[in-house]
Parts: sequence; structure tokens; C-alpha cells
Amino acid sequence: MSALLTIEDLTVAFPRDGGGEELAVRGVNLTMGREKVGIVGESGSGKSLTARCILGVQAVHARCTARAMRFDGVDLLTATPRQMRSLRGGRIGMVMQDPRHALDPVQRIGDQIVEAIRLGDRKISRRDAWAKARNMLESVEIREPDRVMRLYPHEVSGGMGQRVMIAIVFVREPDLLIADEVTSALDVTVSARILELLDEMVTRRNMGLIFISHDLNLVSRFCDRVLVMYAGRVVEEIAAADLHNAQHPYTQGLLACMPQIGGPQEPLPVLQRQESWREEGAGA
Amino acid sequence: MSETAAPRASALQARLAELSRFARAFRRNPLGMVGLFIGLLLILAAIFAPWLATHDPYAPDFGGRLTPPGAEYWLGSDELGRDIYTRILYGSRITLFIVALVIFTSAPIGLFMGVISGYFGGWIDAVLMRITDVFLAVPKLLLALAFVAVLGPGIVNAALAITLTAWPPYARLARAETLAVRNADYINAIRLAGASPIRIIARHVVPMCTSSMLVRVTFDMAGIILIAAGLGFIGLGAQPPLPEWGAMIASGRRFIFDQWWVAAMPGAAIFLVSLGFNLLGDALRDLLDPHAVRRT
Amino acid sequence: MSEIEIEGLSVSYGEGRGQRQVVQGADIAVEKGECFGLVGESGSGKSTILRAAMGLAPQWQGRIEIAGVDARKGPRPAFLRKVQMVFQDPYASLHPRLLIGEAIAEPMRVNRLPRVAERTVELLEAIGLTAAHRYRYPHELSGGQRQRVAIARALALDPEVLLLDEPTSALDVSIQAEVLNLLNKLRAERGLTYLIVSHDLAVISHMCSRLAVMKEGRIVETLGREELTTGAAAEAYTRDLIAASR
Ligand SMILES: Nc1ncnc2c1ncn2[C@@H]1O[C@H](COP(=O)(O)OP(=O)(O)OP(=O)(O)O)[C@@H](O)[C@H]1O
Ligand SMILES: Nc1ncnc2c1ncn2[C@@H]1O[C@H](COP(=O)(O)OP(=O)(O)OP(=O)(O)O)[C@@H](O)[C@H]1O
Ligand SMILES: [Mg+2]
Ligand SMILES: [Mg+2]
Repeated sequence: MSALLTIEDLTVAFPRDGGGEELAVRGVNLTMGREKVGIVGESGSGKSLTARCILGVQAVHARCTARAMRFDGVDLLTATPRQMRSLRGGRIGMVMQDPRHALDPVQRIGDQIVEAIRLGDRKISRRDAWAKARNMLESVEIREPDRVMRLYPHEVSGGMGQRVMIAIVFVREPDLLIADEVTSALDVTVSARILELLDEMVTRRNMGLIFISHDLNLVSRFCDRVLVMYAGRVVEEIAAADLHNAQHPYTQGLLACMPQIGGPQEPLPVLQRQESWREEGAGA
Repeated sequence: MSETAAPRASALQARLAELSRFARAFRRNPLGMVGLFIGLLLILAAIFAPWLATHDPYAPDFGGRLTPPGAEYWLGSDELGRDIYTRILYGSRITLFIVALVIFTSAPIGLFMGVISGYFGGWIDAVLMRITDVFLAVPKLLLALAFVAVLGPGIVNAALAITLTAWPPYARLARAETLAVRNADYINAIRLAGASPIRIIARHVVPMCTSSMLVRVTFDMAGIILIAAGLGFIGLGAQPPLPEWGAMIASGRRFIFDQWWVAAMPGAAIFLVSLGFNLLGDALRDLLDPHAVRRT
Repeated sequence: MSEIEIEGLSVSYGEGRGQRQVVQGADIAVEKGECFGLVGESGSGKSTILRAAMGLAPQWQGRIEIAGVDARKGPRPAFLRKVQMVFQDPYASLHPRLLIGEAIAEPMRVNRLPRVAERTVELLEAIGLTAAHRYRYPHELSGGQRQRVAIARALALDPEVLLLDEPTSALDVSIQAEVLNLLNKLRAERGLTYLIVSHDLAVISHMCSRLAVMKEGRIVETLGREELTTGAAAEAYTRDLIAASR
């Protein structure tokens, strides 16, 4: 398996209030081919930040360093801004966690998808692009795509916004797709359909997928392997199917916090975080 | 979640922390620092002109007419024997005055018009934006010229004329920003607190417009300086003997081939200052524009 | 009389030819102190019902009465004192330029309530943060902390009813557990009534005694927690939802 993406020792630092720096991601390693890799972990553990650094779209004051970061032969550390721009949205696609922020609030949904299509294929006519955009919305299970194409982002529901973001990335047919919490606002039936679509793209287009989610059940059903992050570090790496037999107490704690249908209506167990988790962990 | 080093004890401290983070990020941009330096230089020159000057800016000295730059006249002297260095120093006061007057009138007007029309929409928006379009449709310099021609030349009139042409882009910008935030949930949350539209606009919408306004204003300062100098040059701005840079170039253009410094020195000052504001604007945009991203 | 009474609610957006009804004839009744769930397909109009109730979706027909105040005819300030809403997306519901303390204090300031500073600290402590968090900006908090702040802000006016739109869908499981526990604790302590929108049946099952299922703008079915547990639903769509959530 040739590596599609290689990350060695990725570290992200933010300037701290009183001076000095704070590490938000600490030495993350990831080598992946054309497979489905899940990243789970609690809020603030650095999942999105890792993803953002791969695309070079982290906040201006974030300092992102790594020993190596390569995507299919391209060195992401030395790539020019221009190369990065063409990779983003082209060969690497990312569905951001906060769809409503990532969409332009004053441009219609349809125009935004069409723009994405025409960025990838400059020869396509506006009309064909429009038709393609419409079909893509239909395939992400949006009812009445024609109406939704004419709406502004604040006029669609939370879950529809999320699916519009997915559509925008899908139309570019990337080689590597980073999906950050793409199904968090979707009901189970629609989410199942989106996952089918993702799965199909991974197999048909031979795409690599980084699937960030806090839904452990979903990740264990959908992905090939899973990285568990805590405080900026990968504490456990495990085959997705074995997630329920995870060894690390943190992973076990995450699994225990989930409510269940028909479960008791007592207070849910909450995670008791241990200081030692910050330092130990699989380097993978 | 990472805890910050020491918990903050007041809102002021929080604002300062934010400011210092901003300052630290700003310092990483060398061109921005150059711009800031030039801007500060202009302000210092204006404040301390009487102490930094080597001559009287107005008193003619026919013995020393059109002297080239040297030990006596650092940047040379003009056709009345006045020291150009001194006049540029004093001229910075006029430049700064015009810039400040224009910014402090046009930015609030534009902000007000844009925010009101963006927030309320409907016919209010239609009316206000048509007015804005009318002003935008007329070329800037032409409008300023017509205005000064009516009111008569002078610094204040020149500044007002520039204001007249400068506010419409601010209105556009503020309207766009307002449109982008007016349906945001954080604005809805304040509506649900029962706040009046005036309070929502003043306390919650306007702060969201300020950073892009600031970037725009900084860029515009360069343009304002050029237009002010342009008006001075054609005799509609500051009147002689005021040491306005544009007017100084105008008086020097007769000697441009033989006594180049008379026109070139104030020209260089204009160039330097407008370059500075452009650099500053670029740096601010990199930091404040949420869509701009960068890898270090 | 129920605490929340929604009868024959229809909501539409747009005007003229572009007008479209997104909710049709919805009926919901929630008793005082109850927690009622609203689930259903994405885009089916769940958030719209909450928005209409709060006056954020202007075109609606039907009757909405909450805590004894009619949403249309009743005095608006009194209504807002009794009912508050928590929005779907914690990343979008806090003003980026306001400190946390200011965001929580703002509703109290608008309504000229006394003791704003003390109450702000009390609210922060009630949601498990500390007084020091007053001086943080939203971007310095995690998603879960932000959502808790949004809850504190909704509680600032001491309402009797909270409408919660997907309160935990943007949160990870550990923080979801914290927020759900917090909501249950607040409900017990303050006798609040909740109407919770969620797409996660497990969350609804954990929190609520009854729920309504929505599809394409209509409430297709209302069922109790037991039916949810056993999967004994009348509608095929509900059965699909339950089956897919297992
Ligand atoms: N712009 C920023 N400035 C300062 N700190 C930041 C910034 N962005 C992220 N962080 C910090 O980096 C850490 C990791 O953030 P990240 O967004 O990657 O979390 P996450 O794992 O995606 O969490 P979530 O599940 O809530 O999305 C957090 O502790 C956060 O406080
Ligand atoms: N301002 C608006 N203008 C026009 N249509 C709107 C507006 N707001 C919502 N809609 C439409 O109303 C329908 C219902 O939206 P709503 O937000 O209520 O869905 P939802 O059930 O909350 O879905 P989700 O679970 O995805 O959040 C959608 O089809 C949406 O496009
Ligand atoms: Mg994230
Ligand atoms: Mg919704």
C-alpha cells in the first residue's frame, strides 16, 4: 500500500496569554493509504486542528510544525501558497465542522456549488454545472433541490447546511477527503445514506478518507481503523471493529458516556480525566 | 480544553490579552511594521514640527532661492527661498488634519447608512442603497472637484469634498457585513432577550463591522492623501502659502528639470506616506480578514 | 392546561410565488415539568417550530401558548421572561466580540434586572464554570463550554420553559453527558419544562417521557418512552428510525 498521506510528528502551538506557547497538537503521526481512517476524541483534543494543518488553513496565530508532511508525493511543508490553494478543494477536500461559517452567508447555495464545480472544470457551461449541482444535492438526500439551490445559507436547516458542504466537496471528486463531523446534525436515516455515498466514493474513486466524529458507534461501524486523541496526542490506535474492546481507559470512558435507547434515566457517567493520559500513549 | 496560564481578573485584562495577542501576530509581519513605522513617523512629524524644523516655513529668503539640498537646506529650498524640509514637516500637519477629518466624518456616515440598510432591509435598504449608488456612480475626483468649485477652495472644504466621495464604499462594506451577521443565531439570541433594534445594532452588529472597516479605512488613507494632494495641486485644496504637499509640487513643477528637488521632495513624502498606509492596510487585512489564511 | 400548547401550527417562509409551507398543522402539548422530545428527518421543520414559537419565523397560523402567555396576543416582554431558547450550533450562538460574562449579563441588562454581576457569577457556577470564565471570549472555550454558556444565557431571565434545539449534537459524547446531566439537574431544581429537538433517539430516550416524530413538515406520530424502547411504533418511518438507531 503506497502512502497517500504521511504525517510525522505534527505539532501545533498557540501563543499563550502571558507569553510562551501552548501545544494544542503534540506529535501526531499518521500514515494512510486509500482507506477510511476515523479520528475520535473529546472536544478540544485537536482533531479539527490536525485536519486544518494538513490543508494549511489553521488560524493565523497557530504555529504548525512537523518533521514531514507529504500528500501523494507533494511535500506539504514546502509547498507554495499557490500549490496549496490548488490542492485544497482540488485533490484534498475538507468538509468543515461548522457548515454555516464555511458557507458564504450572502451567496445562494446553488451559486456556491456551481462555483466549486467551475473551479474544478473551467470548460463546463454554467447550465451543465447547475444541473450537476442539482443532482449532487439530490444524491445527498436533499428534498426539492431546485428550491434549495435558490436559498441562502441561513434559510436551510442545520442538517441541510451540512449536506450542502458535503455536496460542495463531493463535486470536486478529491483524492483525499477530510470529513469533520459531517453527520453530527443528521438523523440516522439520512446519515446512513451519506455514509453509503462516502463509502461508494472511497471504493469507486479509490479515495482516502479521514473521518472525524464523536459518534463512536458510527466510527466503529464505518471506518477501517481509528485514532483516539486526547489532549493533542494519539493515545490509542485500533482497528475500528475492535473499538468496543478498547484498552485505554479514556476510550472506555468515552464509550460509557453514551446514553442508550431504553437505558436508565439516571445521570450519565462522565469522564474522569487522568493527568497521566496526557503524557503516555501510542506513538503509532 | 486547555486552561490559560493565569485566570483573568477583569474585562479590561481580557481586552488587553486580546490586544497583545494581536500585537504579537502583527509583529511577525515586517512590511506591516514598516507601514506602522511610517504612520508613526507622520504623526510624530506633525506633533513636533516646530522643534524639528530648521527654518520658518513661511518667511521668504530671496537670497537662498532654489538652493539644492545641502547643509543649509537639507532638502533644498523653493522659489521663495523657504526650506523644503521644514515645509514638509509642517505640511504633515495639514495632511494628517485632512485625513483625520475625512475618516472621522465619512466612516461613521458610511457605517450608519450601511448598518441601517443591511439590518432593516426592505424599502429602507432600497432607498439608502440607491442614494449610495448615485454617489458611487460619479467619479470620485470629479465629485470632489464639483463640490470644491461650489464651496470655494480651502482645506476644510477639500476634506468635506473628499468625505462626500469616501463614505459610499463604507456603506457598502458595512451593509455586506451586516447582511452576513443579521441572521446569525447570536443576534437572534439577543432579540430573544427583548432588546430593541437600536441596541442590537449599536452593541452587537456594529462591533462585527469594525475590523473590516478598519482595514478599509487604512487602505483609504493612502487614497485620501493622494486626492488631497491632487486638489492642492490644481489649486482647489490648501491655498498658498500653506505648505500643503500637493500645492508644493504644483509650485515646483515649473522648475522640474533644473531644480527637481522643489517638486520631488514633497512628491517623495506623499509617496512614502501612502505606501506606508498601504503596507499597514495589507498587514491588518492579513490579520483581521477571517477569510485570509496563512501557513507559517 | 398544559405548559406548552401548540395547536394547528403552520409555518411558511417567503412570499408571493416563492412562499412555501414548511410546517403543517402541528399539535404539541407539554405538561409542566415534563421533558418532551421532537425528532424527525433533517429539514422536516423541527427548528422551525421552535423558531415560530419564539417569534423568529414571522409567518405562522395556529395557536401557541406557553406558560399561560399567548405568543401572538400576549405581551412580548412577559413572554420572553417565561420562555427562552437554546440554539442548535454553539459555535454560532455566542457573539464573537462579547466576553462570556457580557453575553450572560446582556439579557438581564436589557430587562433592567437588579444584581447583574452577582447573578452572572451564580449562573456560571450553576453550569459548572467558574467566575473567571466571565473574562473569556467564546473562541477560548470548547464547544461544550460554549453550549453551557448558551444555556446559562437562556436561564438569565429565569424562564419557566426552555426550548432546546439539538443541544448536544455538536458536542462529543463526554461533554454531551455533562450537558444532559446539567439539563436534568436544572429541570429538577427549577421545575423547568423542556421541549428538546434532537435527531439522536438515545438522547431523547434518556431525557424525555414522550416524543413526537416529524416528517416533511408534519407530526406523524406521538409516542411514549416505552414504545420507543420496545420499538412498537405505528408509523413505518418511526420504526425505521428506531431500527437504524440501535
Ligand atoms: N484559534 C485558536 N486559538 C487558540 N486556541 C485554539 C484555536 N483553535 C483551536 N484552539 C485550541 O486547540 C485545541 C484543539 O482544538 P480542535 O478544534 O482541534 O478540537 P477538536 O478536537 O476538533 O474538538 P471539537 O470536538 O470540539 O471540534 C483546543 O484546546 C482549542 O482551545
Ligand atoms: N428563513 C428561511 N427561508 C426559507 N426557508 C426556510 C427558512 N428557514 C428554514 N427554511 C426551510 O424550512 C425547512 C425546515 O427547516 P428546519 O430548520 O425547521 O429543519 P429541521 O427539522 O430543524 O432540520 P435539521 O434537523 O436539519 O436542523 C427547510 O426545508 C428549510 O429550507
Ligand atoms: Mg473539531
Ligand atoms: Mg434544525
